[in-house]
Amino acid sequence: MHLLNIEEIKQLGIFRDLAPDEWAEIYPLLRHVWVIEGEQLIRQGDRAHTFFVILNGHFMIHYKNGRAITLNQKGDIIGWSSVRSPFQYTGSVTALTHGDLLAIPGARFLEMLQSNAPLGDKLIKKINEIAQSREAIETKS
Amino acid sequence: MKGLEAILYHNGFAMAAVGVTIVFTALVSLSVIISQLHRVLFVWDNRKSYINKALRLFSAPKPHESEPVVKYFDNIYESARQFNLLIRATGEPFSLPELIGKAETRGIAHAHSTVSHLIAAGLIAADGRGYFRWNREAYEQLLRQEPK
Amino acid sequence: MEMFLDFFANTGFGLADYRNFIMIGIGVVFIYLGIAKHYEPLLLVPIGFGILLGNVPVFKGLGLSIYEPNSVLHYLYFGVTKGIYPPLVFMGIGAMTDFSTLLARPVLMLLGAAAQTGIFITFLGALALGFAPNEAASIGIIGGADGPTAIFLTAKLAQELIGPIAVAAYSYMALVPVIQPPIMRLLTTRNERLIRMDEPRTVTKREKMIFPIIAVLLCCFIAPAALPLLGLLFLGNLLKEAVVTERLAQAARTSVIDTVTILLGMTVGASTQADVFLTGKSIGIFALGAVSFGIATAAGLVFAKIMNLFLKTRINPLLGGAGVSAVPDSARVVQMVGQAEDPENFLLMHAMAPNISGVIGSAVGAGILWSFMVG
Repeated sequence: MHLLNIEEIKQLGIFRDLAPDEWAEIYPLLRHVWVIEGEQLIRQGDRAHTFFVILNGHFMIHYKNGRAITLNQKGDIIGWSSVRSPFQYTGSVTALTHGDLLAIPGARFLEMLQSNAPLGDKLIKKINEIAQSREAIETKS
Repeated sequence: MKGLEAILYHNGFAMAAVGVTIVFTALVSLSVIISQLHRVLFVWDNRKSYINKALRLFSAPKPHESEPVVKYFDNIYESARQFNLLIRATGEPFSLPELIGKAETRGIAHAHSTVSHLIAAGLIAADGRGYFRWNREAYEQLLRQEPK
Repeated sequence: MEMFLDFFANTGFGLADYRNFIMIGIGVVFIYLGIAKHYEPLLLVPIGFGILLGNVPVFKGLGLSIYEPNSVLHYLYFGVTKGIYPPLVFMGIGAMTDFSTLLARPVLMLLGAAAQTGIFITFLGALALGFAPNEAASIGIIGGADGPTAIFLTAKLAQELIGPIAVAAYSYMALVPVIQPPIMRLLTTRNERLIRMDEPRTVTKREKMIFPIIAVLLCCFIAPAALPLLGLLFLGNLLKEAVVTERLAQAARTSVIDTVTILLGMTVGASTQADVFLTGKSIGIFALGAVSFGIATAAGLVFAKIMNLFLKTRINPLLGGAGVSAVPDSARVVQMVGQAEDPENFLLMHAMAPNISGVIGSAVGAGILWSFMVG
């Protein structure tokens, strides 16, 4: 299913510190996605359908105001809006290079987080920290 | 009829023993099945990876072909010059998506991956406010390193 | 004057004897216990009022008594005699029960199984006291501490005893906080009561949806006679867990169960008439019912202690007392007794697992007894 083995995926930032039973809940949701250079994964304003974790490649998150950030570290997350209201992507994401990511269907991810309070708490905290730093860039005038 | 005689007459002990056994059998069976249910679901959800693993045991390993990283980046120096000119025209700080758009318009091949490599080489740097700047010092140092 | 005397002779005052007034008094006591003391009010108030209705003396032949075929009360009583109401109550129970504590720690299901030995031991005791086998089975089921199950089985096996058995079953269910704690303290040590349980794993929605399907098929294949009760119990639960059928689950756990509880309680009470209730048999039923309850509690506690000899992580044996299917009262009693020793020991959610398992076990036990008596 994944190019990386499970142990390596478990070391990714967002999945680190998960208990075995929590990991057992997340793992079935993970899907492997390959992208090519220039491919747009998500578009700002669209319904946030998928949550991504970078395995390999360089990605650019860009906003309508022209600002952008780039992500190329294994474990960086994209598409946190799939688990945060109002569930619309706040930026567009384009692959700068060929790459691969883990994809989690947003609705199922959210349902899992809501049904498992301790796990949801852990993951949402990590996601919120990342979101806040990006929101600062998105909203700067 | 009362007492033990009544119990024996009506097969009471047999009925009680069988009854308790059936209740235990039902609940023990249910408990065993439920204790394994989450594991079965886990295997079912990941059946493809288990099947792939099983197949891999029986097939010869294929050599892993990875794309050369610099396929579209034969000449960083040429790309650096092109983007230097482009950024001069654009001005700084610049919007990265707009830069890529302009690069594509001007016919620069593989603009996205080129920008990625320039970022990796430190020639394009984020200003921390969502815009980017051209690192002139790094660019000049790169040119000094260019083989003649 | 003669007409007046004739008229008077046909009124309740003319037809009553002292036993009617005793039963009316009992009905009033039940209503008082339900309203003023909050002892199972949803059951005792309809039952108590039903006792009043059933013990108003009426002239036979006018279709007024519950036992007259063309009376309104008789038509409503049909749901009891034909075993319709108890499965509907079970459907409502299934629609309001969360089986996740049971799914998280399935081994606790065995405590529910152990508590059902009280049913069969009492069955033997009732046989020994001279009750017929069908009556003994109906009395034994009181130990399951499950009112609908007791009524269901008694309606099938010994309809004439529905009144005293239902009253005994619901009375003891209301007295769980009184009956169980002394037995729990007697059979467990302080160190055992102090045992804290580990946090259970989280159960996925999918497991909660698959469980009622597996459970109904397995249990009904093993004990087909439990089909009416367990079938509707797990239907109600599936309606709840499936989410897409939330409307139906909502109906099952509110309007359906409430309507059926009113009709069940009222007609059971109305069927509890002096000639059946005020007999030596009723005293025997009440005495055996108390014994049954006690044995069921003790069996669960002892079994938990035996399990601890084999388990790597010990369980608190108080949980065995929750194996009787008085949901959620016996789980609350376990919490109360545990907290008396350690205020920070929260056992309620853990105790719900054997409690719910007891519901399944008592329904299976009822099905088995029914098949023994009919077969």
